[in-house]
Amino acid sequence: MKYSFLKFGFLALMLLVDSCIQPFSPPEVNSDENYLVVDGFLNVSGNDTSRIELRRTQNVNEAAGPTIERGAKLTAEEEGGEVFNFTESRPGVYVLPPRVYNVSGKYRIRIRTSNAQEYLSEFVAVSQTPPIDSLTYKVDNFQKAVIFYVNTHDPQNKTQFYRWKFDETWEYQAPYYSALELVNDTVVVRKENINKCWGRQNSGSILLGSTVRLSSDIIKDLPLNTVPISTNKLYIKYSILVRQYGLSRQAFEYWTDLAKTTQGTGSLFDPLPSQVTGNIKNTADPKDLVFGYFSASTEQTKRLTVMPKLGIFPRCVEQDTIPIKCPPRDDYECAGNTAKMLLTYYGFRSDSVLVAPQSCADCRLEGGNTIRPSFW
Amino acid sequence: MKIFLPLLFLTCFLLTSQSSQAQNLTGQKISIRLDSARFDEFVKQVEAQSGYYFYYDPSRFDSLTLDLNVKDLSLREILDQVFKGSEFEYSIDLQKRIYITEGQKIITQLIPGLFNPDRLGESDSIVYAGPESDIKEKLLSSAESKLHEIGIRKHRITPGNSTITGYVRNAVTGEPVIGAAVFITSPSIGVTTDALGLYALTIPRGKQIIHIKSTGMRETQRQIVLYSDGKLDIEMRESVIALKEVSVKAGMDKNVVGTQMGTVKLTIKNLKQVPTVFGETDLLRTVLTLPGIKSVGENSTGLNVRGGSVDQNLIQYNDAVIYNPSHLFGFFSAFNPDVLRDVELYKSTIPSKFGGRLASVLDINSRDGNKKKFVASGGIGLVTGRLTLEGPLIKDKTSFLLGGRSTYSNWVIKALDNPNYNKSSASFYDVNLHLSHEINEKNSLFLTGYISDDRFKLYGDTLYAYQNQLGSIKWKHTFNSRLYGVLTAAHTKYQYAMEAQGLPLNSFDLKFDINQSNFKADLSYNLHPKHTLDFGLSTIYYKLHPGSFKPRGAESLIIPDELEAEQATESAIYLEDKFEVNPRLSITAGIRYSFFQYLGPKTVNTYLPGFPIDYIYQEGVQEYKSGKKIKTYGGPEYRASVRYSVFDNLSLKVSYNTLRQYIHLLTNTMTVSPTDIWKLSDTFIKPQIGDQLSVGLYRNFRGNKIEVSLEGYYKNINNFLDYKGGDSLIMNHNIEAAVLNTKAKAYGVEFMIKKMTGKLNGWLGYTYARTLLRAVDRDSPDAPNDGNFYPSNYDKPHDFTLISNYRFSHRFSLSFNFTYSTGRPYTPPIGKYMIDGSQRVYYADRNQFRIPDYYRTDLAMNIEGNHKIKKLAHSSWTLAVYNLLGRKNPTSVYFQTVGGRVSGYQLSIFGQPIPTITYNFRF
Repeated sequence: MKYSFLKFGFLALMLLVDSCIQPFSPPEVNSDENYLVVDGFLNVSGNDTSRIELRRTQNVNEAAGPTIERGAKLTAEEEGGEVFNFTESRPGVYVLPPRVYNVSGKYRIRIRTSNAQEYLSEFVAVSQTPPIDSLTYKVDNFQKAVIFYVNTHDPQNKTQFYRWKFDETWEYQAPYYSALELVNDTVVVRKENINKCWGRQNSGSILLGSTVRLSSDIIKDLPLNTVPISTNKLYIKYSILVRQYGLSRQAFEYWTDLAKTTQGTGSLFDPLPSQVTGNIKNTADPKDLVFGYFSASTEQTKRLTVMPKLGIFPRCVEQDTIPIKCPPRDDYECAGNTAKMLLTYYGFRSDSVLVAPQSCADCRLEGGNTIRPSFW
Repeated sequence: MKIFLPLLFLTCFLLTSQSSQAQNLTGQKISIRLDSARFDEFVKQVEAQSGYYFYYDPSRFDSLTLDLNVKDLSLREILDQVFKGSEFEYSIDLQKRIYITEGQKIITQLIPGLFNPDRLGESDSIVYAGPESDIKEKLLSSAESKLHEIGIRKHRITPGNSTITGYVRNAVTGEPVIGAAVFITSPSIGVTTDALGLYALTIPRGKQIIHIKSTGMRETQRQIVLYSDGKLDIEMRESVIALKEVSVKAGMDKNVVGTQMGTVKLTIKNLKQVPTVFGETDLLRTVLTLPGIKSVGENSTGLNVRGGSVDQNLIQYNDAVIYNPSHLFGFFSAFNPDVLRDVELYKSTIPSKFGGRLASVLDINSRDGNKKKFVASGGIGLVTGRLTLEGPLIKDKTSFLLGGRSTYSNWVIKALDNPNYNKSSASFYDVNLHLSHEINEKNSLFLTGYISDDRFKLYGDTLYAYQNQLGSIKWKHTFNSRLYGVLTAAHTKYQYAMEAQGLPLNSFDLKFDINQSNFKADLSYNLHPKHTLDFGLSTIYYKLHPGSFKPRGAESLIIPDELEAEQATESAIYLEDKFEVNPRLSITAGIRYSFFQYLGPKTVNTYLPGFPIDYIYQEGVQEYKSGKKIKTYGGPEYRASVRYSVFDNLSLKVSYNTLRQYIHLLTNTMTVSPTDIWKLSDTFIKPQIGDQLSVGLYRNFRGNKIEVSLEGYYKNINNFLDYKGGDSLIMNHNIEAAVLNTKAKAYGVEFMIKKMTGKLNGWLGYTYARTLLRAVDRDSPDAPNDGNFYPSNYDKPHDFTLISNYRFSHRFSLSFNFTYSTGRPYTPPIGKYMIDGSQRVYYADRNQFRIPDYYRTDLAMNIEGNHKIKKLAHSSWTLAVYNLLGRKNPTSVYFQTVGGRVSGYQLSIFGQPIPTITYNFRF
């Protein structure tokens, strides 16, 4: 007993007792304002499309999807130079086709919304992104996870500030193979393979790195993504596409602040939350908030595909056997009325089928889809 | 132990009995036969047969009947038989008198041989037996009965006043008794002893009785005849050894009579009664229970006194400043309870001798070592252990006190199942050494050394370490009966280091340190019976190394970076007069002039004139050579307080203070962290200036046993520092660009009922307080809340605390605490938006909402061993439960984007009852 007290005392001390963190729902605090959100950047690489999405902020407890800002006029302007017009390709998505830019110039964005407000960013210099040298991974038996690392360098020592995003893709299987399906009350062979799926996920957090305190501009073995083995993403095949962006110092500070105020705040030694707005202002009303940071840069990508075969084959409840032909009584489970998935024929005369719950045989229920990626 | 016999008997029988003939009481035989006889019948028969005479109270015996049948027995045998097993006692003197008393025998003779050593032990009458094992006791008693002649003896005493000075000391340990009241009752004149136990009392000449009282000490008195100025040292005994309650009568009382306001003194005894989370007596946590003192969170020992920030408290340990008074993130305070004597907190009237911080002074004093014998004491708790040794180096002159404390927490962490914690470690220790030496009656010397060390490592990659080191030497000199002074020299060093070794390429060592050397002279001059002058000067030399950032390991690519050292001097002179206008009105007025110089060598950034101080507007740098004055600040600080006694035991006090602060703690986190940096005022960072007006009413009830006070205050703070969102403070070459000048105002009312004596003691406090901040540059885009006032992080308007202790017996006591406070403000997110594929939030105006209210109850039980004086070890056990009801008080609430969704969480640190057990010993 005494020993457990000791333990408890120290758990508390470490501030890490899980039971000490509880959900907290704040009283209804809402903002009536719907501020403009500018999401995207000017891709100056010359062969990529620039894409900027405009949205509006929402109340914290709003359940509906993001409000989209349509019908705005976007222009990118080079300092003392050309003006490029974006076009709205989809509602709220504004694109500018690839073209040749002056990479030593400075650019800004001008947004005229449909409610006749004008927003203007500061001029930003172009950040050239050096290519990603390599992606590596390591199995960490201690954390029971695989960690993916990025390596890059800028021989000119100019980039110094980096941001990364990544897209994960992995192949997975449902525990049972459903070979049959019911079409017009008839058991037929299933056309589509719903046993094999590909899951996709994007990085949700802001990943930043800086070499400003280093004597050379080298990022070595910076951990980007930790995939716990228990996720089973690594059982068959896993692929990660890393996107790398060079940043200006101001942009780096913006993303750092955003990360600090929305990812880190909570521990007692974390900085207090503060309002993080970017470099875009309403030309008429400086108190009007605008979220997002306009930058001009190039994108570098690299993909790593691995098959470490870590994890376990998915398991499910045992299969059941039911007749294909439905007896006269309704309450008897048969192929015609079951909600379960039909797996395969069973019995000497194949008058029964093996069935399993949907989640055991339909991999799509886990969030992925059956479309094989082009790079697989 | 022997029952203490009042001195009365000694004097009553002084002149009788010693020349009487010795009589053999056993010689005379008596025979009595009584059946259900009344007691007076028995008396009559004995008197008739023996010739002895009885003295007794007949009313005590009127219902008593006796059956007695004795033959040829001596008087003593008969009396023994009659009174055996009853509550009555008898004694017989040499004049054939028998005294019958209840409970206690009457002494009929002094110690045999006191006046005539030849006749030792030939009498069997009841003699005065002083506590023979304790000669000191007798001497003290005789000191009380003796008439002390003070000054040059004259035949005629001229009317007028003279001054008596002297030390009040503990008779057992030789330690000075501080704050003891030394007074006469008619006319009512009194003083208290200072930090060295010295008093100076000016009273009318002639015959006087001086009373001396102090908490925890047995009240004593001296009969004097005062001829002229002179000296009288007084020794007092601790009252703890007397199992009978010492009655404390009405008398001088600081609360009502002094001009001091907002001053609280806690002795180690008070501190020990308050239950704490890990069972160890914690000075800062106890101070936090006093009205007007708050902290941001439960884990923090950072004090926010009356709306001041954590760095605005001058924390002195034996006159040396402590920069980080906490261990282990703030879970423990850095003071070993075994070496402490008391702590005094000043929050409204700050005496002129203190300066340099805006909100409060926390003056912590260690005990002096025992000057008479060697003592070891210590304690064993769940996570810490401590040991203290003390004793004389030269008996009655020089003593040492050495205390150490450490934690054995590392093995606990290692034993945890979670692998994340296995890689973590945390440890700390502190060591105190205190030497005191009495050179002669007029000179005493005190030396203090202190070191505390903390290291912790979370998840195994970054080691944090910090140390406090300090040393002080204090020389106390009495020039004459009216003038005395204290010279102090001290040096303090605080440093921290971070060793990061997560990624070999990015491994680094980060170091920071602050050094301060100070010297001060404080003098006190008794100018006139109505005027006491305090004056002195002080100077501090600061040297800070604001940061060095170095690669660690061969692979590391870190560019070494070092911020230039900063140096400055801060000096002050002061004069304060305590003027007793009349018994009802007294005024203390002081002025302190402080002067600060920021010195080279240093490279100072320059900014484009007319633009905000921001790195984008940096123009260049300016070099200053060594010793060159870069910037000078200075100004007067006024300290005044007035006390007016409205009527007996009720007084009204008003005080006004101004203060200046030249060193600041830069922190942008909720709780002060050990790796926050200290910064001197420089070209851009102006000194913080504060002023405070307080008004209070003080009333004592039930013969000063219960002190009630009500104080209100209003405070302004200029150049308070706040931080622009998100800027890093570590290794920042443009630190001036990261701070925001803020104006603060704080106001509040504090109510307190305190009872420090009796079986039930403790205090009850209620505070209503607000602290509001506003950016000075209200139009700046960085100004929070559009440049309007917003509550500070520690703005908790309502606060109620009950600290109580009930002593069931001398060996068993129970403590109970209750704390309630309004929840701390927080800034909630009010909106969300999608950016870069995940959801982010934006926040409301700063600190406009509050986390749920805080309440907590604690219970502790102290069990003492028996009270025999002579035994090997005195021990006690403390069993305590912190947060008895297990309420999950949130310390902070926060919002995180997890998996693209915004979720709110609340963090509670001690969300369950935490039982602890501590064993303390002394031998």
